Amino acid sequence: MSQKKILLVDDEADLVETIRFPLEVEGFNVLVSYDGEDALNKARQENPDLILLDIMLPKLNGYKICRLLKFDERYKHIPILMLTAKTQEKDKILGMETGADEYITKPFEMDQLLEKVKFYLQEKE
Amino acid sequence: MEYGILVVDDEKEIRDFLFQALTRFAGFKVELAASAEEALQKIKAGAFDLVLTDLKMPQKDGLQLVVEIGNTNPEILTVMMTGHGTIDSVLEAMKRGVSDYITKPFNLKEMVVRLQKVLKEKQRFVKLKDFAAQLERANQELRRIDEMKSEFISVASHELRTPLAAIKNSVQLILSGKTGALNETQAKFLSMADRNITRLTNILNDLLNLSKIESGKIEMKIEELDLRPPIEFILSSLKPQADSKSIQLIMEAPEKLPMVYGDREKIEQIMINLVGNGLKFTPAGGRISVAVKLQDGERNNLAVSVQDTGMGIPPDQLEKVFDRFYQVEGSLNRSVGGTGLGLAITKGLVESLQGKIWVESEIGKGTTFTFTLPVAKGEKREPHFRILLDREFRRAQENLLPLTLLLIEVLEESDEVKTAALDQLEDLVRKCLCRKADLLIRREKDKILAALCETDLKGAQVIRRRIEEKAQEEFIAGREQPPVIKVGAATYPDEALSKRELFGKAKERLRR
Repeated sequence: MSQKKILLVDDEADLVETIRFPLEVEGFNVLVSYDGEDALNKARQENPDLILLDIMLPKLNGYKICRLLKFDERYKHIPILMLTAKTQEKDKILGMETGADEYITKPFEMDQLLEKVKFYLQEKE
Repeated sequence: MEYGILVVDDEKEIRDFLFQALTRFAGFKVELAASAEEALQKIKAGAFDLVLTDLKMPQKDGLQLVVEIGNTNPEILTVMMTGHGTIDSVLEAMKRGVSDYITKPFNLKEMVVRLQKVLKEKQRFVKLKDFAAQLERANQELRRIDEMKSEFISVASHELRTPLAAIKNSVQLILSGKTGALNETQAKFLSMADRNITRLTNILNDLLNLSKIESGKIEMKIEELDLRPPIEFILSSLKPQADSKSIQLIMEAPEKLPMVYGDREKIEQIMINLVGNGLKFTPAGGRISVAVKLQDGERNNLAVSVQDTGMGIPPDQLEKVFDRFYQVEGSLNRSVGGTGLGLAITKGLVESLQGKIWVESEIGKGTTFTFTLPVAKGEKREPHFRILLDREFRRAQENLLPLTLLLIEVLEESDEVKTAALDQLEDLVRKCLCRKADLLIRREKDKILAALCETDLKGAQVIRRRIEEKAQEEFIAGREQPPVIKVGAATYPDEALSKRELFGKAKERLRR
């Protein structure tokens, strides 16, 4: 079984490190992006198995990225879990309407995140 | 203060007499005019506080003069001079805005006193208007600050979440052992850190929640409800917790319980808060009873009371329990993860549902929290829109905010086309609004009803125009003709002062 590739996108470097570390410990290959444009490019070039996507990003926001990828035949199969500080209902629904597979509010329990990641990755087997 | 008076009379003697009298006795600055026309010209050329005019004059008479002054310079006071035989005309003139009248022959003292009185009253009126304007400005400032406060709380709480997430993750990472083995002491203090981050997060969530509730921005779905199911649901959810302390949970309600207007989710939240609190503050072996009945002496509300056999609240603290961050002195509340905002939130929720909440307590015996909800009157249409409109209209009245009622009607034969058009229009209306303005919307078979909070005349005009324009654009694709739509709008307070007037005017415009 080849190593699964996860694309992690958030503009907060510290937070990125706290998520990258346990993912790598689990054996995943983690790619990182700190802004929207770079994230979109990496997603299209690297074809990750899963994307962890923050919403408030410089250059291009998470909603747009999600919609772009989900409406593209080539990438719509990639599970996208949105990570965000926004908690309002409307934002949750919008997140779902863009085609995101899950919507996780910060701060979250790390083991729950890991469970969800593993869940969405195994679906593809 | 020197007042400027214009004396108008066709008789020279009278003019001269009044000039002398009024300048010398009363200290007015007096000008003279021999006819209504001359008077009007002089008014155009200079500013006067008051015009004292004879009634009977050739060509234009006093009555016509004051009517014209009323149109062009309504700020100028007018006083009519008249002989006894013409009282009727004077009364007519007073109906048209003349402030007072003076009978000939003149009693000089009386005349001066009356003129001064009229002028002083206007001064007072001007002062009052000034005060009102000042108050309005202060009010606006307060509203602006309140809005800023809500914005701030919202932004701040979102900003705080990411660093909190980073800290939480770091702590949990170390606790998991993935960064190396931990000794007991390290594990203990890291667990403490983790618990407190959770507590911080809860406070943050509660603060944001409370701020939204208080500013009326919480989303509510009001419908006719039977109270029994949500209450029973909460009681059964909390049963495990109650059992662990051997606390009895009882519900008392009559067989036939009227329905209420409410939002089920919010009611459940209220119940969790109240019963949960009861569980916290009731010692083992105690009892919590939930009773539902018509409010004493009232048929319009149902009262739900949650009574515990806990330690009670001291009388001097009773009114403070609903304050933010209030926590009973020296209690376990803090260590059990209480944020101190639970009751403030509960109160906010109850009031958003148009109810009231209060507390009674006896030390050593127990505490009873009671809240009310309006009884449903059995409407044909879902009450959600009407109730929220009531609430928003009241808010507009209390805070001097504008509110616009928008009606859109689609006049098309085919149901399919109607629905498609209405869907598009509904989307449009939602998008037309800036984030600040809240939108209440009701969809009917062939119309859309929307209440735009904080939208004034100008805003309403803009929205209405955009709807009409966009409707034309959107529908042209794929059809020969755009569907026929009509838009009617009315704004409080500029165009209507009551909800009925608002609806009336908007409907009227719809027909045009």
